[in-house]
Amino acid sequence: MIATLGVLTLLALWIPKGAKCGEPDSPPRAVAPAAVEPALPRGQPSRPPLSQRFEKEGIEVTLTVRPLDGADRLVAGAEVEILYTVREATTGEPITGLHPLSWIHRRLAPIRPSIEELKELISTFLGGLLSVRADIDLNRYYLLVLNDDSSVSVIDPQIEFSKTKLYQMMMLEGPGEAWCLDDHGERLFVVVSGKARIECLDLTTFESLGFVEVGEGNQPRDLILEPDGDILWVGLDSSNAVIAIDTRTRAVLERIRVGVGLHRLAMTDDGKTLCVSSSRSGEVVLIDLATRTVRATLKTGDRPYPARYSVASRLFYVGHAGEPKIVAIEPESGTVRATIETEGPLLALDLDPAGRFLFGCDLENSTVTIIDVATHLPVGVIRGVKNPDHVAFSENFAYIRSVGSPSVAMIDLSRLERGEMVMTDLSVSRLPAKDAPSSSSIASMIAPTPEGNAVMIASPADRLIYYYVEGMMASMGNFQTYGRTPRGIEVLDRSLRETAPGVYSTFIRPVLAGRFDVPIVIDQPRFIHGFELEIDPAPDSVATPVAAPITISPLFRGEKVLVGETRKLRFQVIDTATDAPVAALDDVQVMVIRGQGIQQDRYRAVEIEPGTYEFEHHFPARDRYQVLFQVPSRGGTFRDLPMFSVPALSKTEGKPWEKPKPAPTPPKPAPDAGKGGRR
Amino acid sequence: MRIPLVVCGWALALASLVCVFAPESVDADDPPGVHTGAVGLANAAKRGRSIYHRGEGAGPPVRLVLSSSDLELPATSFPCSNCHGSNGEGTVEGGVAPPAIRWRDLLAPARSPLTNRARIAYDRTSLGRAITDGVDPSGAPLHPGMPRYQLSNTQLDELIAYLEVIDTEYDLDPGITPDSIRLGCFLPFEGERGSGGDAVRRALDAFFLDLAESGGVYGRRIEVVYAESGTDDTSVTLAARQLIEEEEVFALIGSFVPMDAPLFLAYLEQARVPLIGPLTIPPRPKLPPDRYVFHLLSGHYDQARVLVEFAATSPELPKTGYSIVWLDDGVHREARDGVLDQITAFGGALVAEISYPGGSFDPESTLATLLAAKTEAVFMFGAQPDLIALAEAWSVAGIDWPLLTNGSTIGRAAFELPDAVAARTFLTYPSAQPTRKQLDWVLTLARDRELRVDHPTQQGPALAAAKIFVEGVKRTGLRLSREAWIDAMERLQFFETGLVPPVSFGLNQRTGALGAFMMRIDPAANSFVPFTPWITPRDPKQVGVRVPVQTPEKP
Repeated sequence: MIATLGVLTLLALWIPKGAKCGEPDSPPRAVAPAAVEPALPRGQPSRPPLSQRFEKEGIEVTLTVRPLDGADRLVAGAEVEILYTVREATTGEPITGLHPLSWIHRRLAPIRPSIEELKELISTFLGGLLSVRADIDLNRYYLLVLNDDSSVSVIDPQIEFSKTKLYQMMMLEGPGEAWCLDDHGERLFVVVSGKARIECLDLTTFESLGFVEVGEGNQPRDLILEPDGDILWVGLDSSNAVIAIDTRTRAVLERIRVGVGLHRLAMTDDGKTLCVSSSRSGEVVLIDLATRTVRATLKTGDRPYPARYSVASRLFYVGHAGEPKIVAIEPESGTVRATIETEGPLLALDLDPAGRFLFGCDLENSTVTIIDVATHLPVGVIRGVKNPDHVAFSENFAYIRSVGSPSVAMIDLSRLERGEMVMTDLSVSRLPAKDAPSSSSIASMIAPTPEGNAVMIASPADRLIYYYVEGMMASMGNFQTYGRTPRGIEVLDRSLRETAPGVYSTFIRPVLAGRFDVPIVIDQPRFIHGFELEIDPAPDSVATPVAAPITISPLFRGEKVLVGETRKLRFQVIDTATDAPVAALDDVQVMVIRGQGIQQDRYRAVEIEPGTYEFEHHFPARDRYQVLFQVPSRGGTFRDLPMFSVPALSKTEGKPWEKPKPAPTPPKPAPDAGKGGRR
Repeated sequence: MRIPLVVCGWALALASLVCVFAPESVDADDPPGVHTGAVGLANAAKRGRSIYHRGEGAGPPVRLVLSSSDLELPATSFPCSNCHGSNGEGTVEGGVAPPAIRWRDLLAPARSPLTNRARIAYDRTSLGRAITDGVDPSGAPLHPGMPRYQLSNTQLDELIAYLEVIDTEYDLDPGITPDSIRLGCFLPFEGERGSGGDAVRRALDAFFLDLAESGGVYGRRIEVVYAESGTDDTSVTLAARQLIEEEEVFALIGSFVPMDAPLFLAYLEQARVPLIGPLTIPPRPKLPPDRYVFHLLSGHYDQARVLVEFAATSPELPKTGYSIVWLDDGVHREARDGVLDQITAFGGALVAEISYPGGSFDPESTLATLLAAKTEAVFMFGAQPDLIALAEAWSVAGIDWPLLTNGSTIGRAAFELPDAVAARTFLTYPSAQPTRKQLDWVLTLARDRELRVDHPTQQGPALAAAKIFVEGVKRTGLRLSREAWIDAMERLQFFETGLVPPVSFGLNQRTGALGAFMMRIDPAANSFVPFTPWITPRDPKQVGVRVPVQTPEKP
């Protein structure tokens, strides 16, 4: 049982001086009421606190909103961390392994939604209708695709009912060679080698933040970020150097001499040491990142090239392109802790997320050697691959990409833990990657999705991105690259991730201001609630409207509509500033969508009284009908104005349920002794 | 499928799991003394570590006071690690954010994300003031959630000495060095059980020597330190204390733990030291189970549950008329509870339950009661002569009831049963039935290290425990700690050693191989014959609810 900080805060703030608290040896178990969600009567506009707790049926969920700049309120345009802490209410034990779904959506109706309205809102968000997307979806992820034509595509794999899934496109000055996402998924750094620059892109706006010139002819390529994201290190392949760049100011802070040749970079997880290989001079340099000086230089063998760091053994591993060995280097001392013999030279090294298994790709001889870093002994050698060049990982599998084959080899990581190498050949592409030579880069072509059990596989010769869910025989579908040849793929995760036991968080940058509903749904254990947030307009913002100047008041609410009816539905258009109906509007439009988009009808509403409008709709089947509104002259769009749901019921519904009379039993046939067999 | 001879030998040996280490009654005269800290010169940081993680160190109890109140509480209820993390990494919880307090974080100026207030870097003096007075180095008060701790000057120095090394490679649990991991094993090495203890020692030494010569795990070799123990709770606790406090072992392995060992278990819980694979039959699992003890095989309670599962699904056995005969002592009570709990949860009609005090079993009157109750199958748990006597009595009367019991309860006495009864006797076998291939590594080890396998009943599980311990270390990584090793164990699923069935642990699951095979008796060959697949008993939802015994109908 962990006594939470909340308990301490409670006791500190609420217990008067001199009070005794019973048995000093048993810690108080009460959960802090100080952060209880205020029970607002509907319509009260008091500002919701930055931390709100709600408990239901033994589950306690706390929403915490943390402006990254330390402000005590939310402001549009400012980065915010959203955290949900999910615990068992009685014991305080965090509930781990959940996948909560949540959205942030501007509340245009003047009152808080009821639980029924909240459930409707949630079901429309889950439906994925373009016209009713939430302002901020906390469950999304995008695909970033590095193309060979000076662009980066942003693909939204979840849009439905839309012609294109291409969400955005970011243009570069030249083709990207390598790239690096920061930990929060806010910035992307792309090396444009031919132009000797590093482009910095903002992933919240998908716009360029600027670039860093590294000087012509320097050939920047491999790059790696320090853990807090402030310093970016880039290897210069034509100069014998690595440079440190301040990502905020984009100034080059340091230039350190390393060996000659191609460089690969690896870093310890605590950001203390950088390892740089230099293929031609056969050197590996360790750089102390606190002082930005060289800590050690080692000559390890013939053409050291791929370099990685294992969090399990806490050692750097450097493979060689010129001889069959891997050296394990201790970061602090720079000593070689082990030399591992392999069958052949290696051009790539990759480690599973736990850092336990090292995969070495021998492109030329078409083998992949798997080493257990606990013992530095090989687990085995995979041979059924054709020119493997790198390995990517989901939670459960290793995926070996081979340039010479359209298939991908999958290795089961849990079996590997038991010492068994089990490979499955996954048939994905039609054409092998070698048919698209312009796709060559050091960026990975396979990216795991946030669900943990699926990957996106970019196929450059097919010009498609395949979506593969583990357990299936083949890919579930594919996405266009819009005629471009992919060189790399990354997943930009915008979903709630478990960052600590029971704590699910992500980062957002709200653009709009106003009062927002924040529904959250957890599937198992079942939990639904609507929190709320208030976001102030940005201090220097031009007068963007805080809320639409109008809203809709549906007079048809609660009316029972029967299947097969044609019904006139009435509503009012209300001016939110004065709360009075707005009359004489001639462009009030209504869209009625049946179910999840089976049928769509549009109407122009007719004013029957000042401020009251009407339209007529036929309800052919038992279903839910979503009614959306648009008034262009007053700036209200289908997206902004509230939406209402109308169920059409069949005639018998709503009546008390009658127990059906039992059907009369047919008379039993007399047993016929002569017949055999069973019925 | 013919099982090769060597495996038969293992199976036989493992089947007689009454084992040399049969439990004895507990005689707890003296409770253990109060833990007073390490013997001899103590490392300041080690004591500071204890203060940080557990809120207690050497010296007077550490207490704390909450800001704006004078309410005093013991620091053991609010140790630093609860809020600042077990590696000093800080946490975020319910709107408050206790910051990271590793040395590198403390030595840098920082800005509080909560209050947006900046502070300059700490030094030792200002850090001490933060802990005892709740002010930051600029003199401003810390967040009210941070308590003010009341420690002696020495304790404060020790705590700060630990903060200097927290989350670095020096921050290691006892028993770990850059080159080695030290384990402890306590067994009887003298007296009639001594040969078993010695056999286990030879096996473990061979295993870890082999591991050391192949490079160890993450560059560390593993060594075992042994301590002599008796077989009662008190002596076992003393041996454990010697290993943990004097030898400073990282964890315990193998070891003799009597079935009733409250002192030992309480000590282990307080010391927070894990024990992998005790070599004695486990007691009935508690709910929640003892966190620090990882059993490999099922005990009498769970094996008895398997008997009911088997009876419920086997076509040769009746589904009603179950009777239990049991010797009223701790061991056999557990078996009886297992049968009852499983029947209660999943059905099967119990018609009679007969208990008897040790040494006074009366086969004739027991038989009469069983007949009157319309028994159709007998579950019996008692001394071996008692089982034989009852079986003979009903065999003479021409009755052909099936007899169900745990394999280790009857042991080799099974071959003294009358033939007719033996043909209808079903026994549990809670251990592995390995193929030769699965035992390859053991046979190779025995050959390479000249290890005499003369006590397979103890050496087998001991080697399995060693293999499982090493697997946990592999999965944890270089930064090994007791808690991280326990986390890795809790994620272990179907891990094969060949010597015990595949082992799975979980958050509240501390029996690695829950269940058993069923065996029949082949009297001609003087052997046991496993004949079912592995049976895992279903989990009763209600534990402890008894079904009323049907009274025999009056004729």
